[in-house]
Amino acid sequence: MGAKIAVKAKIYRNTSDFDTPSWSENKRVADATYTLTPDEGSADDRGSRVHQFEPTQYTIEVTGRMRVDSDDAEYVAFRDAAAQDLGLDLLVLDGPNDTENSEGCRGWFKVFAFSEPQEMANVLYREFTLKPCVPQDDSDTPVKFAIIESGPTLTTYEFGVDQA
Amino acid sequence: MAAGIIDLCDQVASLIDTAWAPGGNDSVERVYQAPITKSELDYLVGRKVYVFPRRKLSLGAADRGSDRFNWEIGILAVERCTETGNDGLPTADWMDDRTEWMEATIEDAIDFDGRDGNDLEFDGRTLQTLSIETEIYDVDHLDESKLFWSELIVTFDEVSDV
Repeated sequence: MGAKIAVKAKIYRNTSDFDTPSWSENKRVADATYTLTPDEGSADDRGSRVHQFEPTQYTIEVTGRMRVDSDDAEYVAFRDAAAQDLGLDLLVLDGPNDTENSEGCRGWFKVFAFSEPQEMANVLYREFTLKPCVPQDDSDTPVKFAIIESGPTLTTYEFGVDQA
Repeated sequence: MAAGIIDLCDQVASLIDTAWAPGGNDSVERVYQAPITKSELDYLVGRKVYVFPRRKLSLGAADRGSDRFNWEIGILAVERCTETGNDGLPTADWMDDRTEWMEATIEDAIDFDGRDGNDLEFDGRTLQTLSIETEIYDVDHLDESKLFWSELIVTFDEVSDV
């Protein structure tokens, strides 16, 4: 497989039930960063003078810029989520959800920043931050690692669990 | 399907035609080069406005679903003075009238600053005027041929879905 290019990365929003998702692509996203950072737990012992660590809890964050377009349903969904503390069931991938090996994460997120620089010469964008939130439905499913496997099929795995 | 810049030039020519309403020997048209030779300028009758496509700038992705463009359109307004002063040169009043016409008619017709919904909308496209640069008159054309020769470059900004 050749290099992946960022312009093909996607953020999808589920407009249906969690278990039978219907994915709607957000085309108003411009730049974005998907961050996955495990906390470091010390696992030192007397067996080694070298510090040892284990990943404990994972911090997941999606930041980026979204062009303001009040006629776009996906922009409006994010805007309303920011203003009303609504959860969004999102699929964040580094490629289309019909392309094998597109990878990222899936789960419930809330909007924690939605600022709008308003310099005179700008096209308006919202600078947003998404973070995992408490599941908003009965699925009680946390944010999981997501990958498109052959089919194409969306498959999710819990972070920190050996998939071998 | 015409190129985006051609459609835009035609729209600019139409806007000027509506704002100015040229009559008699006056005219406005889209061209690639002014249909008049240098020697014919000495016999030019009426005021002519020519609209040219100049440059297309593809500025890349505005977001994952749309691209941003800048379009440069050139406008040339030319008129030969037939009533000169005692010194054989076009009078200040004659020049003033045309200078004011450039600002109040031509520039105003193409100035879509985006404020309060002031956008240029046609054929499903939405554009704003980024800049208007006007060289009010050319002193060489004025001295040599008694021509009001005014060149304007207007740049439009457009974000369009891919």
